[in-house]
Amino acid sequence: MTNVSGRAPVTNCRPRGPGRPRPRTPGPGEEQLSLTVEHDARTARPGDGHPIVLHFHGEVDMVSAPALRQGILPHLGGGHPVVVLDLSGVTFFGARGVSALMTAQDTAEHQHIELRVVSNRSTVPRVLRAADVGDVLPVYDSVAAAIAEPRHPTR
Amino acid sequence: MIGDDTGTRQGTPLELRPDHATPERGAGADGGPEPLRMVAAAEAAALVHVRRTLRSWLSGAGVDEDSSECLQLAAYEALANAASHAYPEDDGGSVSMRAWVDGQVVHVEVADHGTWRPPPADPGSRGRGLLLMERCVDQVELSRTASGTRVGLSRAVTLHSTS
Repeated sequence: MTNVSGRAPVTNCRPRGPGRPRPRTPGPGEEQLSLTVEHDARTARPGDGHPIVLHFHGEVDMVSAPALRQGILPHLGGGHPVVVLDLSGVTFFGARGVSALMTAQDTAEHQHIELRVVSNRSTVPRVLRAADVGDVLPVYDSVAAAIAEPRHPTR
Repeated sequence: MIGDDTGTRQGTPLELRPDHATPERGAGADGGPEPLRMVAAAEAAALVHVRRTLRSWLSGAGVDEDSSECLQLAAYEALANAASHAYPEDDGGSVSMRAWVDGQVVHVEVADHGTWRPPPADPGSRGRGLLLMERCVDQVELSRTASGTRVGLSRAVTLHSTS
């Protein structure tokens, strides 16, 4: 899966709290959470709006978990029946990250949107399993596999 | 909303200092890694640096990648619990962390000096944090005293030579 040239806006998804400047000053080697949004029209299927893929990179901890949630939520109202969260670039994932994903999952379910998590490394799947949410948030090992999965019948 | 109690304490001075003044027994004696000892402000931004320092220390100690990730996770959840729950909202307390290797086992101890509060009815992230700790290391010891809470974590690891 490659980005469609010129159509993939890059968004820094640090939280934009009201009047709250972030105090963090990234040092050498720091891995702030960042988000790349991929609209790939080639994945569109007739009669079924095309999925959107959100690629996250960095660390998801108590500082950045709100940014994960706020990076996902705006994309749950855009008419995409499937929202793919590519967390392959996430190098740390803590309990706050699980809570952020569960919040997003609740919102998605209410809107009959399928949230599909992708990770090709063990970090995120291990945490989701350990937190007993592996059934609610199954993890695919590639974006292609997540997109290829047929949409489940509306529950 | 769970998870929103972070990053709200503006201007908390970041106190972070590796402390090598109190070496553990056997420090470096058998060619093993120096124990790690840190004290940091019990607030979210400071804990990021504690976790990354632990990551570097585990890497330097030659701990295998899987064990390293699990220990970082468990330690961070202990630190996060201390930051979120040990201290009243506006009181910037401190949290300390020690890590050492004993044979093929890595021990990490996280201690705060706040007051233990009973878990809320909906444990949310905090309940998940405890669950992750229990699932990611071999042993979790929680002790609460009048002077604070101490979480002891240990996990058998594979040590690679770093020389």
